[in-house]
Amino acid sequence: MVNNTLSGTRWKLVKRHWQLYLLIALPILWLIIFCYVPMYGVQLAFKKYSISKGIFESPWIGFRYFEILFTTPSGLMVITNTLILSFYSLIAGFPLPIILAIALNETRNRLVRKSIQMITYAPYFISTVVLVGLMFQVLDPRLGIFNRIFELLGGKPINFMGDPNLFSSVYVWSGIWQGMGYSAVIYLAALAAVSPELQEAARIDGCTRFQRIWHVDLPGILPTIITLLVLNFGFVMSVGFEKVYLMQNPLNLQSSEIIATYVYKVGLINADFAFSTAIGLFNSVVNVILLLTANQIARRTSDSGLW
Amino acid sequence: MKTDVLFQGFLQAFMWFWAIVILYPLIYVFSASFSSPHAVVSGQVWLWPVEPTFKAYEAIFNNPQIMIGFRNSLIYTALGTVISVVLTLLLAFPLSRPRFVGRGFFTWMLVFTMLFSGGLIPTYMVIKGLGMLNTWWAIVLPSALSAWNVFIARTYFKSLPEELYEASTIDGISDLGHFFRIVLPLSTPIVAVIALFSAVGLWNSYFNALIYLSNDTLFPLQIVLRNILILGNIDISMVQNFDAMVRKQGLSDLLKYAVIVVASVPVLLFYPLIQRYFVRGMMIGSIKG
Amino acid sequence: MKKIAIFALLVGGLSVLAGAQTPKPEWLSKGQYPLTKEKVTFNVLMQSVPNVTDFSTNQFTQWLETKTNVRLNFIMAPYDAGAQKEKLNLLIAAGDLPEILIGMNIDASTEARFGSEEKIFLPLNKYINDPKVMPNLNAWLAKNPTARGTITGVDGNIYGFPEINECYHCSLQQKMWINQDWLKKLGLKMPTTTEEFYKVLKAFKEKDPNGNGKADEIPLMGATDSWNTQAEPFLVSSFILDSGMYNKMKLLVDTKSGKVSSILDQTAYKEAMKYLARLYKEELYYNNSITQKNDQAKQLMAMDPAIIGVFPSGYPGIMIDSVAQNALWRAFTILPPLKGPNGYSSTPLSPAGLTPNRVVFTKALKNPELAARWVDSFYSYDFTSRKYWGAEGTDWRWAKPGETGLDGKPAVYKVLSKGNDVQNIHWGEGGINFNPAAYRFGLETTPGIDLGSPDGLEAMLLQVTAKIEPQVRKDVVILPTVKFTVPESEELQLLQVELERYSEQQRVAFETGAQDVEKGWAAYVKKLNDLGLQKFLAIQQKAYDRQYKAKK
Repeated sequence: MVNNTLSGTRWKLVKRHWQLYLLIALPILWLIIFCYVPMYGVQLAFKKYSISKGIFESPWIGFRYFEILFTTPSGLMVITNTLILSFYSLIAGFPLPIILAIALNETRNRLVRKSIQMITYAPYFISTVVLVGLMFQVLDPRLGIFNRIFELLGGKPINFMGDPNLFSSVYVWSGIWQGMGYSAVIYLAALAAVSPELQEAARIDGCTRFQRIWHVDLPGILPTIITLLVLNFGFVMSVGFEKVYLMQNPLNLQSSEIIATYVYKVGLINADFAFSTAIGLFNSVVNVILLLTANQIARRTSDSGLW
Repeated sequence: MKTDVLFQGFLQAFMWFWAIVILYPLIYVFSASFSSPHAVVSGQVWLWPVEPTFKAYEAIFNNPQIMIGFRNSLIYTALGTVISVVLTLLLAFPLSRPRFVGRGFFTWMLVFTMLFSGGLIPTYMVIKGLGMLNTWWAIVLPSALSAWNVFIARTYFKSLPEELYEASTIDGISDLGHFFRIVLPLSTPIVAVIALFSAVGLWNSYFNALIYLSNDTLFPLQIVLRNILILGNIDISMVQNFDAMVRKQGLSDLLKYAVIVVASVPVLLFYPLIQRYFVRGMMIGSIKG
Repeated sequence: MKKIAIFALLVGGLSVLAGAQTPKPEWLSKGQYPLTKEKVTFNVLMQSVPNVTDFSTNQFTQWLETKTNVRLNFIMAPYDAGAQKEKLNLLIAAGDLPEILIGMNIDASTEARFGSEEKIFLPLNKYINDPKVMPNLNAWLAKNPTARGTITGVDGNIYGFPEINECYHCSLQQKMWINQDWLKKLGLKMPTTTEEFYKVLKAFKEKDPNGNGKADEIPLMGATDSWNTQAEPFLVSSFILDSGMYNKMKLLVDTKSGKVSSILDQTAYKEAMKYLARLYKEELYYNNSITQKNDQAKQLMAMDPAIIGVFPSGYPGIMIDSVAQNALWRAFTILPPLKGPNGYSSTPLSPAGLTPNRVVFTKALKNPELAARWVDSFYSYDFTSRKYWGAEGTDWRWAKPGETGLDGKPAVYKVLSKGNDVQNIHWGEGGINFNPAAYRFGLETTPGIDLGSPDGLEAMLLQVTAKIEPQVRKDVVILPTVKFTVPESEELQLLQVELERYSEQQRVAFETGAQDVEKGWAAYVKKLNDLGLQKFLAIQQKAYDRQYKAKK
């Protein structure tokens, strides 16, 4: 009886808001065609792929590819290195675009604001190859501007690219350098939408800038911050391959070998699609766990999350 | 008040520090693309171009494909952006409505695609099955929706005051009407951001083109530029044509930088256009009132 | 066996130097043209070539069609190998199999997988062995008997037609270049042993050869990422033959016993590590060489006054611009391989010259015999000249009596047009390449060309390469291309990734002194074995025996 009423109300809601289903139909159709239909490819993670037999007819081999990752002598190392790079990027890189956006938002001079916005946004378009090339140049112990300044200040030149302990910092901060302005765009848009009335009210109340930012701006963009933070946890294992690979050398290998580069080095052989599918699946599962956890924490603490 | 000055100073210092740290390499890339190969290689280029030359740009713009590439990229970006924005908003709005039955299910459906993917082969088969190989659609459709953008838009819609919706209901405005007449006009910043993200993604993408297109006349700019970049490569074991090799020497260093300039200027110019919409379309108060 | 494919190639190349040649070209196409009465079309998956605008309208393509009556329907594949492989895999998976693949970089494991495992590639033995179908390739293989081992797959079938590009200087690509102006200035002789070399480097560092009063000289510098720009292999080769920076497992074959070994766990390698550590510690070897890229090396090279004494690379143009830095370019000359403390010296002879699987037929091909005859046409000087240079008479012509080639012998052809960077006249380096040594040396060249000029590059490389050739060892050679079955290569690759990473890490640890060689050696060898070095070698041995022992 209770159930009946409940489903009854639900049904009523569905009927009342039928137009919402009309709106969502097209994007859902897209999701089905371009994401769900191809999903059968995931079974490759458990198969020995034969290209002439096709995905469905290829023989099963169980968890063999996962075993490889876990039993290889460096398996633990590559997973740890991946996690270090990822969390370091997240912790160091996540707050900076927010600060930049707030700083830009507080800049009254339009020309300055727009120019700096544009400058900080531009490096996003530099290709990875050139970015790494610039890094080697700027950080070179003998030629690089970094070490020259350092020497002027009386320090000894540091071989940034050859020190395994510095590898993650170089990777992360160059990433921040490249992506900060681009990531700030979304916060700028969110700040633009913070209610002008609240701003006005705060000003009339005699709030300092800091108080205004703290009590009006930040809460205004908090939902965006939380959404992006939670989403980021869904990509923790997905550290890109190209930049790390280009930065690798024998001196830093102990911290620069990550899952993606390991798969690249192994996967170029026959297993090809199957091995990389399996590793991709492993990454996805870890990402799911992290995302769910992050979402749960977000809901507990701020009452907003992805769902 | 003192802490406020301090705080203000911190923000300004932070901003200027990054602006300068970022600006220098940008100028370097720009200057290097206009300098002689030898000057770049020997580290003489510091800030301004040395022994200015247009060699790299000549190599790029003499390529018969470059204009076709530009045109194609513009089409893909424009068309793809429209499709992306429409699909994103259509999905994001219902997901932002608290009374939308099935919200959890559809949200999960979306998150799942962000985390799992079927891989290259099955996706290729789908594109092939739809007859999209070697057409515009293979470029603009498969990447149309990103869960990331949908969540950004949904968060924004959620942040709009619920009273707006109640007002609509009282006025007898339907869900569709509410979306188009009330929500969209208030959402210019987020529409602008999603348009920007989609456009940048489409403009920069080349992998789909590499895989789904085999007809030169359909290649986007990024593919053409990649091909030009390879022009500077020398396989010494194959070299019998020494004139060609001497001409190529050093060119690859310049091309590297010039290609960045050519590829990114259009998207950079797009940004100020978008920026104008980073203001809320109307005062919410005016509607409420 | 005992004789390795590479020897044959080299001997083949050198015989040209020795014997006089008639101006009449040796290799001309022998087919009956047109090859077919009815026009036949092939679907060809072809690697893009950056400087060719459009293959389907290309002038050479048109000439080819008129001459052979074979039309080509091109499906273009990306230029870079990774994306190419994706494209090929997708085409096969989607059932859009092309008939012929050209220039698709089919490596040994792809060959094993699509050839013997999945039967997508056609075995070609019957066409190659039939002199009526493939007269030129057949004759060439008869002259180069060991080449057969290189192109044969794990099941004894041949799945691809090879590319023949006998680049003599690339066969001895591990080269070290020394600033002879500095040697002269300091009154030093060209070093011949590792100890003499050490003294020269020390003098370079301490005696201010560039004369600016500052100790800014870098005696020896290398880079990580360009063609043979790592210094270690050259130095190690004075202790035990090092196969070069691209072969990280450093595999060798004993020519008498046919035993495969790696130098990584051998005592001579340990001695080499001590020598490297000494150079590193005294900063005779620029410490940043282990991490820097060639871009930085070029900048250091371009300092004024010059600060670099010695550097490695396949050819000096990698670090010096022969036009803009011509004086510096002339200052550097080859440093022949050095003798180690035991009088050992060596230089690796690379298996350059023959690349398997340049052209592959798939099971979709309807007329393989015609296709084989068509492919054979490319193994000729007339086709190759048209393909690489363009039309006869306007872009190139046959040599006239009295004209001489690079090696001073009668020339084969003369180039008439310098060509453009982007063109639609010929296929350039695309398609099927046939450049035997005799053809490459047959390029008409002004006698007595200035070896220090940019145009004199090939002649200069020829000369310096001849200088290091006597150092090639007869008792041991680097392991030639070996092919593996699918299960073998799976096992191998997993071992290799671990072994390579560990040995590289440990090498730099020894070199930089982070780990003392004497103290760390035993643990290092033990760890190599724990990671499966012996198993790795056993698989290599088995595959090597299968491929080369039987063929002799």
